[in-house]
Amino acid sequence: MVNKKLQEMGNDLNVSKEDIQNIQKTSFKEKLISFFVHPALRAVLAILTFILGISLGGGCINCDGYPFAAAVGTNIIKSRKKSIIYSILIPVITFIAGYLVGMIFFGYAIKYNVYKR
Amino acid sequence: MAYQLRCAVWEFTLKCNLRCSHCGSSAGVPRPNELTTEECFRLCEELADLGCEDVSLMGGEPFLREDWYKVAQCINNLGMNLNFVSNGVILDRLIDKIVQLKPKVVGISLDGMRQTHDSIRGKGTFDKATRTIDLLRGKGIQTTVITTVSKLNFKDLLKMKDLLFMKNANWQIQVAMPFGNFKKEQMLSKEEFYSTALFIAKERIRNQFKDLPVIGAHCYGYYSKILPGCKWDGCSAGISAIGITSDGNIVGCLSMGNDRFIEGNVRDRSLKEIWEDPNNFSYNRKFDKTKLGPNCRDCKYGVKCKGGCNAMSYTITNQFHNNQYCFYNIEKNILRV
Repeated sequence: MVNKKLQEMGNDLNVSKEDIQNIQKTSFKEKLISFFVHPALRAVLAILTFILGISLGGGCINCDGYPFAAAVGTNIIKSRKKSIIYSILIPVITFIAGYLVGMIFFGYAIKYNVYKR
Repeated sequence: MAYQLRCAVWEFTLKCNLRCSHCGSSAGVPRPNELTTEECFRLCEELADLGCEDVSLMGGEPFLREDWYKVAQCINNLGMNLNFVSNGVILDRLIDKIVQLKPKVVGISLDGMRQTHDSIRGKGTFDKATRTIDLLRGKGIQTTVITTVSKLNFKDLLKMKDLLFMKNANWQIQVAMPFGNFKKEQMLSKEEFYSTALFIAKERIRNQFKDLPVIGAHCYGYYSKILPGCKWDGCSAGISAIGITSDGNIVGCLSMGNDRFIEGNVRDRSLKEIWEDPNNFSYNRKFDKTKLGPNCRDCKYGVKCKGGCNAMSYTITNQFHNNQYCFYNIEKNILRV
């Protein structure tokens, strides 16, 4: 909704009602991503890593910590090296993807300095 | 708690070839006893030792110092990112030397179209500044046009957008604050401030980022219901940033009015001692909810936002953590959304 006062402020610099509506839509999308997509990505990461751990067999029944815990319950010891590599690779890919998604939008105000791309 | 210094904005000299009507530093004549070249080198080393990543040389006009190249080279050699902020008036003859230094970004001030810019900065300065922008871009130097907005020039933003779109530069828009030469009566009203924020948001959405990246500086914020991307977690003065005056005083931010918040001088103490002194930068380092001013005290974002940009807050209200130029505040009290 674009109220009259908001429209007046926009008119000062040729920001039309449609422009304001676009701005509001972009803001809404950004909030959606922040509230839902980021936590969802982290959940997907957790599930994927768990599945990988199970499917590769982990190779380490008695290791501490996640994600090797995914392998607990398997009795088949397979490549521990592969398990470690994939368990690191998937979080890195997911982290980068999540960061790139966040970069599409306005982001934080710059703190202090000269803006650079 | 340990604070990591990331960014230093250095008033390299207060000497200036212009007398801009909105200059917060009232630049023109150099300060008495500005740092010598050797002192500058030592300061560069101290910045690097503290892990500073970015050093921005500004002024006054930084290129008026004869040793600018040597000090800039020192910053580079120590592995820190080098930035310049300039009025662009004398750079045409220095371009090749600037290119050799490979600065991360060069900021060039442009405060309107020709008539407006020249009325603020002096006759002929618009043409020189725009020529400098073209020369820098022609050499592949990342260039940010810095526009300081007030009642004098905010309507020029529309025409400036068309001009800058062709120049492949970044555009940083910031609000003129009432200190130095700049008079409070010429400051944007809250409505005009919000209008410029709408303008920035519109241009960011409409333009491809690569064509004209437009950004509001740290004075544009916070926690808007309408405008995207307005999170803010507090002023960085003394937290990750410092200002350095040309005579070696260390402040949290050069925009706060330099003499009032001096934390020490590098001639008397090392930068490390000043930075690590637990009593310094207390307005930010010892912030708690009780320090919020009346404009921010009852705001649900107050503790997180810490009252917005402290330079805006102090220059307008004589108090920290009390910035009334705030999107959330304007939307609630003026727009009623």
